[in-house]
Amino acid sequence: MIQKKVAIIGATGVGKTSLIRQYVEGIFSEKYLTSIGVKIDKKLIELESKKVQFMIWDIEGIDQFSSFNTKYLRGTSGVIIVADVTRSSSFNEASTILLDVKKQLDIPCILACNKTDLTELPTDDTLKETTEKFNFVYETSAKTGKNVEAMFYQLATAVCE
Amino acid sequence: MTSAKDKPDPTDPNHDLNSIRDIVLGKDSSHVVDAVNRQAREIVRDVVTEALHDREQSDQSVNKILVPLVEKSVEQSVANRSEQMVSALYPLVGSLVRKSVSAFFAEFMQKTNQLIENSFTWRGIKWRYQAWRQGINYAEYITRKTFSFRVEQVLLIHAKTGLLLKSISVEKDAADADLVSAMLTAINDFVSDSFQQEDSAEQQSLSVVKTNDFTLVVKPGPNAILVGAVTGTVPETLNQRFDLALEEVHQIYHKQLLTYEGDNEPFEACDPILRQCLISQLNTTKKTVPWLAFIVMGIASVALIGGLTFRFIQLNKLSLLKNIGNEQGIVLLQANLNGISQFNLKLLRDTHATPITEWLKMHELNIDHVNVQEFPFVSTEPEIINHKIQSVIDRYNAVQFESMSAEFNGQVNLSQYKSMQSQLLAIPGFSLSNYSFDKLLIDTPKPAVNLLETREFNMLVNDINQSWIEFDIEQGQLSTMSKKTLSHVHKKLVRLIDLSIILNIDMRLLIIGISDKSGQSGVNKKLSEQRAFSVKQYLVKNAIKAHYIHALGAGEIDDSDIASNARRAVFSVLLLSDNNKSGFKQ
Ligand SMILES: Nc1nc2c(ncn2[C@@H]2O[C@H](COP(=O)(O)OP(=O)(O)OP(=O)(O)O)[C@@H](O)[C@H]2O)c(=O)[nH]1
Ligand SMILES: [Mg+2]
Repeated sequence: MIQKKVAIIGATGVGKTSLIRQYVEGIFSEKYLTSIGVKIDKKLIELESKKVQFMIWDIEGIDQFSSFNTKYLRGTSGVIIVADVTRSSSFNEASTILLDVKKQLDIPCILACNKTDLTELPTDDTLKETTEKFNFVYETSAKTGKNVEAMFYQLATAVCE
Repeated sequence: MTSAKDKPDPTDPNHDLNSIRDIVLGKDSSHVVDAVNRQAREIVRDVVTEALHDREQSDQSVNKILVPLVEKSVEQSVANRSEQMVSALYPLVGSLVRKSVSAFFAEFMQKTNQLIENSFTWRGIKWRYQAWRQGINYAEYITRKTFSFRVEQVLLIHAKTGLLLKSISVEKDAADADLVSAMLTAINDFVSDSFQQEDSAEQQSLSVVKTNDFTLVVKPGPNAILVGAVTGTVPETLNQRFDLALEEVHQIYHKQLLTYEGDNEPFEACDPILRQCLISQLNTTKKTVPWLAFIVMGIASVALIGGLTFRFIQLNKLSLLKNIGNEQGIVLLQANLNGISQFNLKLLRDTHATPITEWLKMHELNIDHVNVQEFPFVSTEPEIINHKIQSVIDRYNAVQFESMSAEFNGQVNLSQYKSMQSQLLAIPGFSLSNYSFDKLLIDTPKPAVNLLETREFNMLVNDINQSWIEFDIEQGQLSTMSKKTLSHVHKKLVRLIDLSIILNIDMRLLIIGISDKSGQSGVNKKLSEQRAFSVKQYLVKNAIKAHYIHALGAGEIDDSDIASNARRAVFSVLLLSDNNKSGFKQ
């Protein structure tokens, strides 16, 4: 078994904590409690050839008043950057975060377009630009669990390559 | 100015109506607009809420228009007046942060506690139970109970990733050590970020996390962090131990730490290094012993036990004393304990029963503490009667009494028999019919014809007994002188043997040769034998039957009075006949 540190980042309220909760515990809540600092969970993933234990760092949401503590990214093997499909501005923020991450680390980055149970993924050009910068893009729903498992599995595969 | 387009068309059916409106309201309706404007504020004020509500209900268009507007204006106002906004929100955000951080720490503590509490050994379970009973937490209990400190768990954490490289523990590996490790590094990141201007992480990082129950000793190194979960008071020596272990880890695993990719395999071998940190110190503080209370309690219990034991012994003695009533010839009237050590006995005793003092001695009872009141009494119990019979027959030498068979045997003369009988009849409870006298021989007086012979016989015995045969120095053979003396003895002996036949007395003559002390004792013994044999030989030669004579040598006579004439043989007549038995005894 190998261990990997991965991080979930994104604008506030996009559903980072919800995605992790859905993935680790299989539950979802409509209640919104904003995260402060970092919360860590773990999950064992069985890939075809090996087992990977993820230490998942749920990092507090980023907004225009606070950027995230880049120290939290030290030693991270892969990140999931989350955007909210109901809020187009969250995609811009995802782009900015991606730049910050790439400045520091050369690691696989996945874009999670979350809350797709509420609305379709917008199809404008800026969004297309954004998605192209990522290694992988997933349309997810923390509420229904759509693509959550698949996204983390993909991350595990990517960080082990 | 108006254009052709503005000109009224006379063919238009509304033309007349418009003309009238113009006449009434004026060409530009300005006074009407004026009038409406004057009242619009009041009209809209009354319906705006309902109107917005109805419109939102019908096509949700209100929010679509309002939200961007509101967002924009809030953004603008925050950008323009951020200082005021921050100070307004600060108290709210402050408490939010505190709540969230404390939730994080609570989770962290809970996980760390699990590290320590994860042991399920028998001792662990016992302590857990005790801790529960005392209403304290397990870790605290362990500390109080056994150790002044104990390193429960040691974690080696990869500094960069916060991933757990290796963990060892006193009891059993804890499940969430990896989470604790990650959380610790997160705290570390948070602390170094919050309290530091420059990026010199190592100096500012966390070194100790303390709670009521345990302490996390955190030793950050460039590539790895060593953490110890300690219960009790952390001693200074522990820091040094941790520093050394961390240095060693860095030295040995330098490359592995730098190239760490999440595989813990290479760090399995650092077990011994980490184990050096798993130290503890037994609690040596002794409880103060309440000696005085122990002594007082000891004395009290010894006194109590002693008192009870003494009482028990005394009661035991009393019941032993009561056994005296079972003794023949004694009737126990009363026995009691007076005070703590004085016994009172009241009894009847036959004079032939065992004396009380003797009985007490026999039963090893202290006579001093027994006060005996004795009343005379005549017992007819068999043993007492036997006792009394025995004391009667003790006066008659030749009589025996068998108490078992109730038989009298032996020999008495008639007058003795008569007096014995009257004495026996005087014993209370004695009845002649209960006893047998068949084996008792009663002598009747002997006929007068033998009286002279008996007297002569006795005289001869005396004479012979007082005779001796003298020998010369170192001589075993009879001299002429001694042969002469011996011929007198021979004559008496012949007559004695005749009389013994008449009187029916079986007799023998014992000749004892003796010698003086001159010369060797071995020779003297031989000499004495020779002298006795010479005498025997002479007598046998002179027609005395050999079976009447026994000769023996007595050796030297060690007596200064007779030493001078100890060269002799002496005689002793032995009477064996039954008829003379009584004579022997008397
Ligand atoms: N319908 C729907 N709601 C979601 C989904 N994901 C999250 N939410 C809701 O969005 C709100 C915010 O979710 P969180 O998971 O707390 O968001 P976050 O990114 O962790 O927020 P911060 O920690 O404040 O940055 C919550 O009320 C969730 O219930 C989703 O996929 N679908
Ligand atoms: Mg969150």
